[in-house]
Amino acid sequence: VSPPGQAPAIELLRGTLDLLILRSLSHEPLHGYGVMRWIEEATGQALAIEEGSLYPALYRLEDRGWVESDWGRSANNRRARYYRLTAKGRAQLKTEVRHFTDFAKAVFRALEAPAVTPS
Amino acid sequence: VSDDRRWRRYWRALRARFGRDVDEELQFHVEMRASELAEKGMDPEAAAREAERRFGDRQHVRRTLDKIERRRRGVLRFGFLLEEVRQDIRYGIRGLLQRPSFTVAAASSLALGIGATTAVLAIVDPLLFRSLGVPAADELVVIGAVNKSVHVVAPLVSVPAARELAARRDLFTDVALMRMQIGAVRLTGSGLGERRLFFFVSGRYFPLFRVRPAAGRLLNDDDDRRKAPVAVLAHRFWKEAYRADPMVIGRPLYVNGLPLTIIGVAPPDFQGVEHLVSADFFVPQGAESVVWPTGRGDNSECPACANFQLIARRAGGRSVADIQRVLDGESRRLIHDVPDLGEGYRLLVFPERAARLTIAAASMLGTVGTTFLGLAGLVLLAGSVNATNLVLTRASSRKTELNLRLALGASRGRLARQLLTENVVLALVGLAGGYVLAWLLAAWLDRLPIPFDFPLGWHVGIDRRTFGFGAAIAVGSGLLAGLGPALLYSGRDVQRRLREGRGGVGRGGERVRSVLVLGQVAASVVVLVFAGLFLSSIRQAEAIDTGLDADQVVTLGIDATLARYDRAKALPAYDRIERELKSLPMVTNVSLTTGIPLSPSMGITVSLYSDETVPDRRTGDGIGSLAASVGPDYFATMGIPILEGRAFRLEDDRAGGRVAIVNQRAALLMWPGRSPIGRRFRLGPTEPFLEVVGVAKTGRYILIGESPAPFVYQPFKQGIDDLDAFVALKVRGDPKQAFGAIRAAVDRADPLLVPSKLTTLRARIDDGFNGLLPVRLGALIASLAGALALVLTVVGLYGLIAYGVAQRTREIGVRIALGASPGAVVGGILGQGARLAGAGIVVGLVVALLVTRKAAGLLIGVPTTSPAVLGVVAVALLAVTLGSALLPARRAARLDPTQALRSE
Repeated sequence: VSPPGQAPAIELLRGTLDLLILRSLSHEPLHGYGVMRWIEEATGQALAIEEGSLYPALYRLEDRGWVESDWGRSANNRRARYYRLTAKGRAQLKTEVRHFTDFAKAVFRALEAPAVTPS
Repeated sequence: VSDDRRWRRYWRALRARFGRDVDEELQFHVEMRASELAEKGMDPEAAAREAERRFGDRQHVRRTLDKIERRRRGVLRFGFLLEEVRQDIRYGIRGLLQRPSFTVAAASSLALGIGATTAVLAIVDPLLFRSLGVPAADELVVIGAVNKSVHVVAPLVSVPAARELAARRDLFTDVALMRMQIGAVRLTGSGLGERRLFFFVSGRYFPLFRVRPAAGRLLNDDDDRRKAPVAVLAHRFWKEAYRADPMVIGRPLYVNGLPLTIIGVAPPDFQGVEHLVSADFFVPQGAESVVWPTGRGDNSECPACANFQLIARRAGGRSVADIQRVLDGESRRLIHDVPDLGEGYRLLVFPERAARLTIAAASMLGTVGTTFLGLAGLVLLAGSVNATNLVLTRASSRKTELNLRLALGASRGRLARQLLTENVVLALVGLAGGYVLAWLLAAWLDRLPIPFDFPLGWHVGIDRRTFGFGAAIAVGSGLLAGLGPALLYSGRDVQRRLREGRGGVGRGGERVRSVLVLGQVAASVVVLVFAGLFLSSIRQAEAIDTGLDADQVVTLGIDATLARYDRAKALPAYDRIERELKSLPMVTNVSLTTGIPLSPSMGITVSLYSDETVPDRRTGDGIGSLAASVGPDYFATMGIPILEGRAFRLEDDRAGGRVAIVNQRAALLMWPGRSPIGRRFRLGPTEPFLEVVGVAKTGRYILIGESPAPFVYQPFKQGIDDLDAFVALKVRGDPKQAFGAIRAAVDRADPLLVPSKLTTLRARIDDGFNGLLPVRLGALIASLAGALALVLTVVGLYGLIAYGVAQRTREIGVRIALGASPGAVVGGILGQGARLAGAGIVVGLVVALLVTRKAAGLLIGVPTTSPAVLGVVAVALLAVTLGSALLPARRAARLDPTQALRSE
């Protein structure tokens, strides 16, 4: 979400959207738009996410049993589908956070290493 | 069906709702975004556009979501169905385990039926149904011949006659010849070798079958013409003797000491049209005179040497009956063109499938097969009736449970499916039992000790075909048994069923069960009548006067040509053997002979012309007969009475005094009403005259069931030029004890001969193919089937009556309370059983009379309408069924009325 004139937003890494969705639901159940809003705020609007692609991701997560959904009422009293993290989803979130952190650490370590290997 | 429709409606509704939900969800998102942007001060219309842009292609998202949903639903639906089936099976097994006595009774009823049918199919399938396994096997025919007064069809045609037939391209596309031969065979250059069976085949033999070699090449016309000393191994022999070594091609195989070059291996399981025996290897017919310089010589130009089996491929559009008509119409011309075919000679054509056991039984094979399959089918029927009745009974006693489930919302289709599943599970349990039974039966049959020197070409075993057949009838009978109750629960309304209350058997149900039991009784009657007919056939056959005193007789084959002896060398060798055997202390008589009674070797076909007839070859007025050459002591050894004149003497063997002994039948046909002693006759229109010196009692020669046939004996050294001889000995004590000494004596007399295995004449009569074996086997299978059917029927009738009594407990209680005597109660129930059994017996007897007629040819000396057999079966079945009704009847009579009235 980059207002005109700002630097172009960063493309998402594969699989990262799932991780962000799971993380967004870890406090409380949210509807789709709520998930979108949380990601925007949490990342400081740095990521370019086509909003429509959020839903296939959500459905797939539900298909895998990591989240479940139910119809409820939104703050402005409208019917909305709320997504909730399942126990399985919570465990999955933990694993994915660990994986991502390990991955990021490794990449950082590599970036900070001297350009020539000491012999 | 209705279930399925409901499913479809359900899924359609779900799908529609899914679509609406998706639209609403996406719409909500876009609207939320738009209102947020508007709150930030954007113009509402611009905000809506911006929100839509940020969302992206809404239709694309929708389609993606739809795809995800469809996949999920598919998995769900499949899992649902799978779960239901699993549940049905689980319920089924649980239900069966809860009622072990029901399960055991129903499953073993099915097992007996399935086992019997599968075992019988395993026996008859290779003989009756299975295709020969070569291309266009339906076109193959075999051709045999029959002589005017020897009624046994022989597989024998001469090479010139075959050549005539091969020229008839309008009848046959291909004609091939085959002759079985025993040779002294060894694989290496030293040692004596052992007797093995091989086939002399013409060059067209392998091309006719259109088979490909497993290794090397097969025989062809060129091998035949060149008289090539080569051999093609049978696949089985290649595996057994050479461990399927492909390097065997080009190596020698010694037959009677002559090396043949192995040129190839026939395809697996190939044994031509033979099913009784299987050859070890194949040799070109043209090479006969090379391989066998001292044997029967060159058959190629000998029209009288009718010792080949003819196999042909029908020309397109020619039926077997068609060909037979042509051959009948032209047999006179054939006889004229091919002289000395013999008078009254008729060629007979059979489809290959009909002549599988032996061509002599070609007309019988189908009857044998259908008879025994039919018997097994009736046992299966009796078993299925039991299973069906048990299932019906159980269904009505389970009515409450099922109705409850209906009321609780289980669909009728689901319930019906579950009942069917339960019965298929039951049938599979029955199938497992049936296989064990069939396997045991087949293994036992396959190991029956049949006195036979060579590998049998016919094996009884449960293969994939019979296995599949068993499975099919198991599932079929399981479905059938479950169909009744399943239908009961798939149609009508729940309310009415519930109102009917517990335990109520519809009167209709009881009627159905009664009819089924009636059919079962009838089926048992038919099976038992067959068993009875076969059993009395055995008794008749055992009482047949074979004209022999077989008990102390031992026989063995000694063919000196296997040691490459010519006549000049062979006859002294035979004398030495005779002398050596005579010197054994336990041997009382010894005789050489060219044939052993009750075997195919007994006699060659001749035409008799008495001194009172003027031979006219065109009218064929000779009397067809069999002839053998025997030593002086033959009649004493075999115990054949000489009724007039004398037996042979030693001096008869010397050339010059041409004498013969005829049997009563031959004497009657040539000189009716007059003494044949001193009269003269000949064995063919141009043969020298022989003087009759004695009359022997007519016996049985080739088959135990044959009708009295003429027979002629000649002195061994004057008779037929056949060195393939046998020795018959009469011994004191147990013949088997003498085997070792006899074998040693033959070896002492001539260590180069390769004698056959020793057998007793008793074994040939009792267990041989030409003796009592067929009728014994028939009786055995029929009695087994009879016993099974009887047991099943007793169980079925008992079940029906016992259930009826249990249902009518209250009614019987009322009658006892009103003063009915126990005798009256027992009588009433017995009467019900007797009516049912009586009706079944009557129906069974009528059916038996109709169907046994077709099998009359399988019986020996028993009319199919034998009143004794029919009467015994009827009385026995009535007694047994009344016995099975007695138990529940007595239980009913002992009912305590107060208890009975309180039941329900």
